[in-house]
Amino acid sequence: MLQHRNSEPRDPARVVVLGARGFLGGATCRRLAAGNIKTLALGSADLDLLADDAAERLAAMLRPDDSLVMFAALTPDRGRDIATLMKNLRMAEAVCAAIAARPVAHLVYISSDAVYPFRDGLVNEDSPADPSDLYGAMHRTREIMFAASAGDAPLSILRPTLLYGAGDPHNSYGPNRFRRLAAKDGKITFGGEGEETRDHLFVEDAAALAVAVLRHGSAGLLNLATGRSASFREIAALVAARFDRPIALQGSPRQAPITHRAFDVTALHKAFPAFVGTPLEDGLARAHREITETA
Amino acid sequence: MAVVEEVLRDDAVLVMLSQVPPGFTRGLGRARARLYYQVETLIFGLAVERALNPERFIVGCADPARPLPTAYGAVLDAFDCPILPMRYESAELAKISINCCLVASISVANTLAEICEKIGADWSEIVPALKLDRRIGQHAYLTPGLGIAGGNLERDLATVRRQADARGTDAGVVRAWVANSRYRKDWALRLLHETVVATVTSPVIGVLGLAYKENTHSTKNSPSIALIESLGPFALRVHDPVVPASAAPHPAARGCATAMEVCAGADALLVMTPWDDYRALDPAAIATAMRGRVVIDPYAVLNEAACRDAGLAYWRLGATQP
Repeated sequence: MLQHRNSEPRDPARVVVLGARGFLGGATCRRLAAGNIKTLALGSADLDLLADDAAERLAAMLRPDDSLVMFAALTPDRGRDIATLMKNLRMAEAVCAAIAARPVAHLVYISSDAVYPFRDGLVNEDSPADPSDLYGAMHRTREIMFAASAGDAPLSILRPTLLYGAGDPHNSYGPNRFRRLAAKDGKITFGGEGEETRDHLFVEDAAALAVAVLRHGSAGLLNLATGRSASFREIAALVAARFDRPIALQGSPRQAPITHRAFDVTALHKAFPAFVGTPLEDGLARAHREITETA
Repeated sequence: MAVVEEVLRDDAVLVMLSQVPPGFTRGLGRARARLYYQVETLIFGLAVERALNPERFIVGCADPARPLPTAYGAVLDAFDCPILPMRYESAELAKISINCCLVASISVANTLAEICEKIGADWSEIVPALKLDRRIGQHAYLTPGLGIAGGNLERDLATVRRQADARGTDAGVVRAWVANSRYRKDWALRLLHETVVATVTSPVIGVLGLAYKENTHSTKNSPSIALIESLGPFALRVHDPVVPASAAPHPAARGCATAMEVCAGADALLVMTPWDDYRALDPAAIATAMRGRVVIDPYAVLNEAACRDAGLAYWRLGATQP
């Protein structure tokens, strides 16, 4: 459960963003800029967290009143193996060493719902984090690393569900890939009959919540999700409906047992009562429009 | 105990009614022959009724085979109900066991009622069929609620978990009941967000009832108070027949003199305490007064058919809105 240090939101002195060029990191930086919140946006080209001197270089940039947000991670499309896991842990190690040398005022770690196993259909912040793959294990380990390194700074761990939106560079199974398939092939193929249900969060909503956490100086754990899950078939149909031409929807032989994931977002309602997420249909429409306009 | 024992006659019978954890009575080390542990089974709001008409007496004894002392036995006999002597530990656990059985039943009701809400079933249609099963019984506790209400049940579940953890026995099901209760407590909040907050800018929320249950002024463990704690940003109107509006944990809750005043201009109406006063409300009048259409009535205080006829979007526990 999230606890707010600032009952009324106020702008942090400065936000240092690690992973600023990524999908969610970039969206968050744009939102911070729109709110005129002073930001030091660092991508891997600005600061390579795998470099031997990463900790020292980062520490030299940090100020005591900074809010530090860690988005930076090698996502599954960059590798799902042990080598990638270790690189991600070394990146976190560098950040932890930096904040140990130069403590900050607030620390926010962007984790993932990959820490939750699929055996429990309904997930909330009390659900055991028991990852079953290396990517989930990486995030869970990083959560613990940051908790051990935060010192007196309030630490917020945010676990987003699957994200979607116009600028997604990944090709993960779901709305983003469906859209690309539809545009390229005129059809969307999903696993089985698309029965599996998932919660998808519009990236702009995730960014808005990250900024809200920063402005409230929040500490604790929060899942970022909508509380509404849809089947992949339903999602494919919504994506297909955005196109002017007919898009075929087809299933494929099922390779793995059906799993479902739903989120109990009561904690989100309590932390940010006035927050209203973008309905899936609206978010997909907006993403489609943005992609089409920039194409 | 020391204070009491100081003034007791040597031949006095001491009967403890305070709920205690298993092992407590024997651990007192008093002259156990004249020490009894009697399980108290009062229900909040029905204390006098339960005291005057007990279903049975559960009596923990040093030696259950020995007859009860004459005077004590005479008092219990006067109520003409079964008297069940047993060892101390069994009696101490009996009260907890009663509450665990109730919690199990409530948890089944809550879990299946939620599925009913998602699949178009109606839990209230299923309950009579369950009660006609002798293994479940006519008096089974199967009404869905907003979690486990009352600190006593939660305390007993915590006692079972502690006892199990200390002795290496499995209390997973107890943990599941607690988790389900915590989840179910926020049913109204989640529904309010789905039906109103997600679609109405700056909604006005009306809440009927602040008390923990009807016929009491207590707000301890009140589902209404818990709900209101999460409504800070929204305009709020409240009414309760006995609890003042100042009890609402909200920066600007407006206390209303009448229930209809709560309805006026509201986008959502939540009936959070099943006061009899609210049963007489006319859904047509509610619909006319409200700006929105959503009525969240977990305890089915209002007439559901009349609410739907009045064009209200009516929600209660255990059923889907058609």
